[in-house]
Amino acid sequence: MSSTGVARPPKECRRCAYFRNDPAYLETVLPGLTSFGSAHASVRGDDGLCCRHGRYRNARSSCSAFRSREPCVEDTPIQFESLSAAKLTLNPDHPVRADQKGTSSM
Amino acid sequence: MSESQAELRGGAPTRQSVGWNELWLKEDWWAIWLGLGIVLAAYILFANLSSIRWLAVTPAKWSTFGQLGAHFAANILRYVAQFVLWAVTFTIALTALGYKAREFLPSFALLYLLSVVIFALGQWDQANYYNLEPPLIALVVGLFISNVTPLPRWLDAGFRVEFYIKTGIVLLGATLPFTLIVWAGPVAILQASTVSITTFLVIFWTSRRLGLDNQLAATLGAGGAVCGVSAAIAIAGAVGAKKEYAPIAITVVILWAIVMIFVLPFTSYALHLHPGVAGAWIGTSEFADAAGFAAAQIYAGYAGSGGIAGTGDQAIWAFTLMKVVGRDVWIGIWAFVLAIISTTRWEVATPDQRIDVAQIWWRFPKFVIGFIVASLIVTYVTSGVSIADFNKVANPGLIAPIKDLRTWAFIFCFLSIGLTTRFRDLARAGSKPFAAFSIGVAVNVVLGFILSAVVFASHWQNLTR
Repeated sequence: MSSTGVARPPKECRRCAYFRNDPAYLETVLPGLTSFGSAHASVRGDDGLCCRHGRYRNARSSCSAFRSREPCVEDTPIQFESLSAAKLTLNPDHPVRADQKGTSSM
Repeated sequence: MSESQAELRGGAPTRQSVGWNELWLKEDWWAIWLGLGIVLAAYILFANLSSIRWLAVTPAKWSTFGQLGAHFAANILRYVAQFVLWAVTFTIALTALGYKAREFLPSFALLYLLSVVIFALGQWDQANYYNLEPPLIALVVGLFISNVTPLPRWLDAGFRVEFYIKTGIVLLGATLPFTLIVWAGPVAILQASTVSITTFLVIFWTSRRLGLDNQLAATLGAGGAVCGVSAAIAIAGAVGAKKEYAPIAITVVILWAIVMIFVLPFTSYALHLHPGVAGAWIGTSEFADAAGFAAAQIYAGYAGSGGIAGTGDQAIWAFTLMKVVGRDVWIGIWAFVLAIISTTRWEVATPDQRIDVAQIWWRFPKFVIGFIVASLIVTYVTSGVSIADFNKVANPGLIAPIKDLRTWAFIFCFLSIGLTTRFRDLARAGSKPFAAFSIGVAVNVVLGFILSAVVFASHWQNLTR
């Protein structure tokens, strides 16, 4: 919690726009997974595919190529104003933005 | 539009299912809710001088079609009720996991219908003579349908191998005395750990000698040593493997797991192994829970005939102890250790792969908790019962119906294995990963046999209630 009282979500893969860990998606792109396994199993945790690095990763990892899927506080102390600015500057085609409009392709 | 922009737009959203969410977003927990729900319902009815027996209908032994027809005519209502029970409970669970009921229900109806036919065929009095064990028939029929007929993909919603096998394992806990888990568990852990570590090192070392990189070697090694496909994806995530590596490991695991469904029980039969010994061997040397249960169930069908002394339960119990208690539960430890090695030794250039000690818990196969709790419940409620009363009252009224429902769950699973294994869809593994894994298989099978049939043979032969 910052001094301003705003929670600071870390820049982890699970919050990154390049990260895909939806079970139905994983069962489509990992052929054979459903034959003797499942993307809904506890052993998978929240692991998923990073489409930036082409790797299958722990959802709590992070890297310098992080791209925000949702408002994420940067390294500098957060202010309410800058959080609002971050929301306003989201790409209109961003998946999160699309979901909020109810226009997701899913 | 750049490639990265296309990926951003086209991919699925992320989903967080670790933490409290896991209780309704992971199939392990749904297997627990469903399995323990059945066990508790069975106990409550039993305690009130009733039984779940009516719902746990199974095809009876038959020798003529007239007998078979008469059985179904007399019990059709029970089958309908049982179908409704399964359909409703599975639909609730799978809807929570994100599946559509309108896709699951017709798929499950087909699965149930095929399961009834396969179960009935397995009850034919000549089935043993022709090797028509239900797991074998289910596997072959499923493979034929999925690889030869144009089955619509949306039907896959009902072919949930892992969910059915986990539900079956929780139910199996109710038929396995907890005292047996305590007595036989340490030997299972010792034997399974010996074979797992050896197999992993052999596959890893061979992979490296063949020029494969560390992450692929580890993913293959875990797939062969711990719990097949589940281990492969767990370790791929823990070490940050390239996205191609998990599918490669999945392909070789599937191919060898299917081969071993046939090889292990038939070799055991040829050697006239005791069911407990064969179960331990299968538990040590099969790669996936579902495949292993298929192999163990096949051998259980041979017990008590053809010169095979012992009971079918002993094969299932030994397999379960070895595979579930001896191997599956350690996947979190494997993931944690390999994540440390990966980050500190192999791929220091990999950007910030997280070493997360909490994964020991969140990768833990939670259905094992349901298995243990089910065993504790039934062991507790039957603890003061004499052997005579157990055989006369508790077994037929409480345990046998749970066992019959477990058999249904296993048949759903065995059929789903075949129905979801489309060989043309599997990733091309390449000769080197296949060779490395195969050498590991050879070492695993020989070492597993020596430990099961020689070193700990008397232990596995003496598994009894």
